[in-house]
Amino acid sequence: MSVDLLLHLQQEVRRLFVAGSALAEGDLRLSKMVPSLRRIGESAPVFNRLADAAEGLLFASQADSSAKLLELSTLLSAILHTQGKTDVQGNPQPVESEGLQLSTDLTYRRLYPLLIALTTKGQGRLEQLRQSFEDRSFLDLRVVPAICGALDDVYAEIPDFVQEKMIPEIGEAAIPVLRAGLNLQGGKGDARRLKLLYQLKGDSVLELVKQAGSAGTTDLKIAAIELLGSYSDQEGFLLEQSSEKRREVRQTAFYALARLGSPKAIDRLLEAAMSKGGELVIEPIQSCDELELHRRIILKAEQELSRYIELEGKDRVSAIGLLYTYIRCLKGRGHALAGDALPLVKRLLHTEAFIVADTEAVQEAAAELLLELNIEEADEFGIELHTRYKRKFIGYSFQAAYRRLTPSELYDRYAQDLKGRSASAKSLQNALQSIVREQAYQGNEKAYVVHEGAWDSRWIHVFAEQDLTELVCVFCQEEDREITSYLTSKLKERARIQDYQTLSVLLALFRVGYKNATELLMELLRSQGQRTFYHIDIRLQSMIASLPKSYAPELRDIAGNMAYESVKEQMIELIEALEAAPDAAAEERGNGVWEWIKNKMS
Amino acid sequence: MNLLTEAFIDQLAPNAGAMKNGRDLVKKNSFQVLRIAEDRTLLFGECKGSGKEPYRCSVDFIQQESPVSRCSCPSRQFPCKHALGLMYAFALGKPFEQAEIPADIAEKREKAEKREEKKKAESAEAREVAPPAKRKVNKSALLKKMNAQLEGLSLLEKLVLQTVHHGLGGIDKQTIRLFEDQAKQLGNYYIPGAQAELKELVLLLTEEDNKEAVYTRAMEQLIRLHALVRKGRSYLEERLADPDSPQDTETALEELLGHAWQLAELRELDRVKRDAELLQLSFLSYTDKARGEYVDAGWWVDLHDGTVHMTRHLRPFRAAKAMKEEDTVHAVVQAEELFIYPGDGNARVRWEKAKQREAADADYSAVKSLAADSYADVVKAVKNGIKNPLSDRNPVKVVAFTAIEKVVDGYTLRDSHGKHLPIASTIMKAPQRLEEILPLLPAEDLREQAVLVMFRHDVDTGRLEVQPMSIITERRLIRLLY
Repeated sequence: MSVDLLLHLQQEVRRLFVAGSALAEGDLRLSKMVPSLRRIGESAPVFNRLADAAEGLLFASQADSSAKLLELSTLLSAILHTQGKTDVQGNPQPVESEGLQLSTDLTYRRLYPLLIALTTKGQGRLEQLRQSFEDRSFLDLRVVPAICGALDDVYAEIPDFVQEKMIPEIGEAAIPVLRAGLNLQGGKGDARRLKLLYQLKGDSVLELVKQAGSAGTTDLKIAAIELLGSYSDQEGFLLEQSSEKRREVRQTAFYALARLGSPKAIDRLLEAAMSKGGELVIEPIQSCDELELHRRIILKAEQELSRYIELEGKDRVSAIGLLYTYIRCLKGRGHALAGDALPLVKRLLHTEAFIVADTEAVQEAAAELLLELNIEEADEFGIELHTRYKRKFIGYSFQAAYRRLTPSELYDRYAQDLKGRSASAKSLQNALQSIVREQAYQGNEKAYVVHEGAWDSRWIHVFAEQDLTELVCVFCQEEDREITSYLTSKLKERARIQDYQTLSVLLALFRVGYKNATELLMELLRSQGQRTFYHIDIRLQSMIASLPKSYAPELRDIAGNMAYESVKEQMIELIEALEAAPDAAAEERGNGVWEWIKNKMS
Repeated sequence: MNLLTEAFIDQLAPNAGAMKNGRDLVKKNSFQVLRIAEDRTLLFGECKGSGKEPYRCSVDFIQQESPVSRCSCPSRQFPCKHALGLMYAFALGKPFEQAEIPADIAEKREKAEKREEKKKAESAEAREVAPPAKRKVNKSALLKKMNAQLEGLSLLEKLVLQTVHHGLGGIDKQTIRLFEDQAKQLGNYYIPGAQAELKELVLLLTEEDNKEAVYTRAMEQLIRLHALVRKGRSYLEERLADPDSPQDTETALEELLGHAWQLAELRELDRVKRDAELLQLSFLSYTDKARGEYVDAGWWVDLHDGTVHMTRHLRPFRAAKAMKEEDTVHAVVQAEELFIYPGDGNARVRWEKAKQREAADADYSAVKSLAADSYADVVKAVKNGIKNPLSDRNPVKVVAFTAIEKVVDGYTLRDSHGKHLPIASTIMKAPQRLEEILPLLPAEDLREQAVLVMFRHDVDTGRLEVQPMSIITERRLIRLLY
């Protein structure tokens, strides 16, 4: 009772604090409270003091009012602070403990940044997670809820990392938190939770997964379908989902069916490929390991080709569409299906009536498939296409020929076609470049040069003649006066330290041991090493590292004038490595430094 | 040095960044030379930096518990990342080559030894001659200072009264700017504590959201300021009348006005406890905007009598970069001299020299046995404390519980008499959520244990609540904060 009165008084005092004590004189609501205070004051003297203080305020002059209000409120606040309630509502129940045995020993300086990375937005968070993962400091009880919460993060790399690395490592301890956080009507984060629960608990959450599949939102449905794809008894459910309204769900179901590979699944995939939205099922079909499906598709394609030849107008257009779908379905399976697919491809590319503008895309797909078959008979057919249809397929023909002919045969057959600016010359160049790209630039160790002995040595002159600089550079295997003069003339035309081609040319000159190569490099560094130099290309690094030691002082001068701090530091490191190298034979030293640099970077 | 663990090195590091950088140096193989003295008291080596010359760094373990690091790099952090890296390299088992102690370090050691000897001789001498002379106080300066303080308090009072007169509802941007100016002016009157309390009020009033909650807090703060003015004035007037009277050490009044206690003063006032053993129960680092500093706060229990003390390491924004960030401490600290600051409630403590030992089960049991087991008594003591407007509004205590239980709107603690303490999780802000962590704990940790709690009286609801900071069982400490 009396506490309620105090709280009431507190409300009035607070009101006066907000309104200002200047308005307190004779305040009605406050004066109404005085008698009740006095009444209780008879038994509890402190209420009398409150009543005195309240009256003091009510009768105070404006100037005194603030002091009086403070007096009253100080007394009231002190009393209220002794009246704090600690009762609880309802009947307390024991906590349902999850019984995790994780410790809480991580110190503040390591825990706090991790929690911040998991619970806020901003940059540098993934790096923090990686670090905590590496030193295993994320295995702390206080982090588990935050880690599971990060599955909902909008910056996809964070939930990816959490899902793939951290939670599997936490293992069973994450299950209760995941389970508590899972909402079947939720979004992507909940789909991740479902997958993790399945990953951690296996078949025991199958019911939950089924529930998500039938009643969840799109994201959860997709996750559930993916998980159920490996259960053959779920065939009915998957078939049903493959006709779902939502595209994403349908596609996931197709993938799951392709994985299942049962007769009914194959029927359904084939049916889907034949229907209007066939586009959607192409990739799932490509992923299917049951080649029976692809063979049936080849048969279908043969039929469509016949229909194409026979029909006209609208029907013809639909035949083209289906053919296009079918042929793309075979992608990635060409070699395995070579025997079945070759007759189809041959027939397609031999049918004069088919090589028209309308079917351009199908022709390309068919030609690509032809290359993919990768058997002698197919490549021979490819080579034959060389001059047909106004050299339309010369690129494919060249690629087939590269596999089957000797270098000199290849050169003799195609070199003349490279010249000029015709469409066929361009497509031949593109084909050539795609082979070169594979040889020179792919893999961990980029070589920037084509395989030795794989090409006829005459090619390089054709390239120089056609001014295909990049090709000249990668074909440059040994010193040749004509070629070096071509390359040096290129440098004279245009030399930029940040330019890809400039560096390619220099690298080629270094490779063949051109005597002025070092001087050309120094020239470039001298003239352009200061301003526009904001990145040292790896090729440039290798060239600097192979310079003779005597250049070190001058390189230091150049480095001293560099505007970009990071480039300068890198440069100095290179120079130091150069200086530190022993005075062995020039070549050996160059290699030694280069090895050291690569070591340092890895 | 054989005890050189990664955790120990982490403790030495001035901040989290230095830990990472030190480790990265090891990972990147930046140490070209790693050497160790034959008697295993010195690590030294060379580390590649950005310059031409490598940095030469060393860590001297001649005093096991406080290694001395030296480095030729220009960093102002001690130990720098190179010295830390050197230690991490050792802890991570990199090969160290045995070598002679370099001449320059031998020389430095000798000098340090001499210094130490000289100091010892001096103190022995001093002890023989006479007890340390009382520090002299310049009386006229003191009088002048106290007069200025009184003047400052009057200024503050005027401001408080004016605010109450016009009401909180009428405060606009212009008034706030005026307050800010006044707060700045208060800087001239030797009452930085009072100045900070005023700044706190200004910060409160500039808060944009939830005006209603702000009003209540602002009202409380005005009451506090008013009390500070009154108590401060009567205290200062008393001392002015009798300048020889001692400083107040019963309450935290001196500190509230802004006095920074020096260890020598505390020693003079005999606020020293010898050979104290302390166990850190909780740690938190937060930003005190009003005072312009980061605060690393630790809550420690005295293993002998169960008192809960606080350590507060203050890192002013301006100097924060060069200062060591404190961290969670797991070990038991054995302080030679424990300095206890004046004040009621969880008195602030500090120590200069201390050893550490690993915390054992016996220590946890000791804390548990010292926990208060009657909530009625604890609550009474807490209420008695917080009714004083100048007291610490959030006292911290170790209490025993028979169970942590779930209620409609959260959790509650129950003692052996069936009394409850409602749990709140918003007294201290942290990214981890108490209500998510509690149910994850093993059932036995939620029954018959002790817990470190912070109290809060919620003025709006009239409820007294607690936030658990750590649970103490016989075998471990479960840190809910840090």
